[in-house]
Amino acid sequence: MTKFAINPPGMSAHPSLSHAIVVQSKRTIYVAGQLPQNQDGSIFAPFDIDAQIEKVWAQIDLILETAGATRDDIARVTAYTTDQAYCRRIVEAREKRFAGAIPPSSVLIVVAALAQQGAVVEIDAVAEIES
Amino acid sequence: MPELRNATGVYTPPVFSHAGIAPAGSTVAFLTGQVAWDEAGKVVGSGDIQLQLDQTWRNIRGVLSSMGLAMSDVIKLVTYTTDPRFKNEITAAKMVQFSDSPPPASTFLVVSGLADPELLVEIEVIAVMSANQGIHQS
Repeated sequence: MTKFAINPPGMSAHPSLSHAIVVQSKRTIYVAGQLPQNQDGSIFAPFDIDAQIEKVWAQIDLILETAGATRDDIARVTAYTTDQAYCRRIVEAREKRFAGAIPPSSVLIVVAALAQQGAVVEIDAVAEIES
Repeated sequence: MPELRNATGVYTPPVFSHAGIAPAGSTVAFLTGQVAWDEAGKVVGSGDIQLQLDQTWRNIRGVLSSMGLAMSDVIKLVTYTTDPRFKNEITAAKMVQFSDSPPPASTFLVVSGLADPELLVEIEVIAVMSANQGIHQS
């Protein structure tokens, strides 16, 4: 697949993200914002940022698999968190996840609240696939 | 037509799908976040979440239909609200809008403010048009 990252010289670079992703694709998959949820809809590991990040990424992987994609097909992620203190953990987790791959273009936003009490992170993703 | 998918092993509520897919050959439309503004840019339903939701969805339908699109072409929503207590009204309004088609992939956020201090909700929409729908330009 034709996919590459745009990281212009003169801009700060970071291994957790690309400044832009250019990709030739057939289908685009928009993943709903994933809250860390148990199967019954209750919040997984309330207020535990590291456990919640792991859970959210596991959910995104499952959804991508169902849609015929993998994590490497992600072109963009948007993460929302309730506390600026969690930003570094979210970035580190993303860096770990995309080590050796092209990291997606990324947005990280601190919000006043998420849909359910106890959730401290929500991530949504856009993936591009060629089939 | 867009595809909507749900994964097993992930909590599946009736109010949204896990993934919305823009199929091969489709054109994707990114709508500006819609709020409860009338045509003159005045807020409809100051302080009233229900009236604001009605106006916001009226605006979304207006933008979609200007492109020849319907609710069944929507694959993703992002909802921004100023108060978590509005979640039930927002969800109920969404279910009314998607009573005839499966609900799209969704993200729900509470923010500390919107573009106008009277606004309580803003909804951003991504929709797909198939190759043969074309874009109707005036």
